[in-house]
Amino acid sequence: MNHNNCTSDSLDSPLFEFSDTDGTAEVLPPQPLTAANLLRLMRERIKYYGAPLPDGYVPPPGIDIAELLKQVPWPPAA
Amino acid sequence: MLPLVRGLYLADRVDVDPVTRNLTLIECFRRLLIEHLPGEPRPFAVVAYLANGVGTYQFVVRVTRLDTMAEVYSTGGEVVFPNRLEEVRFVLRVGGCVFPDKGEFEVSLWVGGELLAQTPFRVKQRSQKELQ
Repeated sequence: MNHNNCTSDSLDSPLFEFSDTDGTAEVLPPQPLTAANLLRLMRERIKYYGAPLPDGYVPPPGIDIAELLKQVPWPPAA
Repeated sequence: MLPLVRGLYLADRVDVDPVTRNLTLIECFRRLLIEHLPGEPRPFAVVAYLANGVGTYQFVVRVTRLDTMAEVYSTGGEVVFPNRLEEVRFVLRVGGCVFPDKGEFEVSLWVGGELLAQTPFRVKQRSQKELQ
């Protein structure tokens, strides 16, 4: 089979390349954890660690951790 | 309107063909082996295919550890969508992310302040046997 006539390219598709080592991407300071993001991380954490929060976790100021815990499927139903 | 993410990948390397501009993702991974912890792995790439955006957007890529919820890395920049029908390819080469410990982490892509995609991965210390 002759594939010589088969060509492909992505010349029409914009490509953005960044790197944190050459300055094309700016390294940012850590952002404060919001309640919405913490809730998302708690849900994700259950998959890997079996619990939404680590032992002794101290939430950032202003976040009602008890309220967030009501929104995650934890503890699992018997 | 925020763009859609059609895929978010982690790869050891991404080659861009200088003539065709085709992307080749090499060694897409879910587990990152690091010789020493805390430490930096060899550089890796975060690749996303974005669509349905128009105009200029600020993006942020974050690496978060899932055991403590702590953000360990964050970088940002700007992408421009020429029109809604155009798929935009996004490649971020990460060389300065220090991992404090082994465990589960996630990479998340934020555009315009909204979370668009996330992908989990595991960091593991390379054993002496693997080093040889």
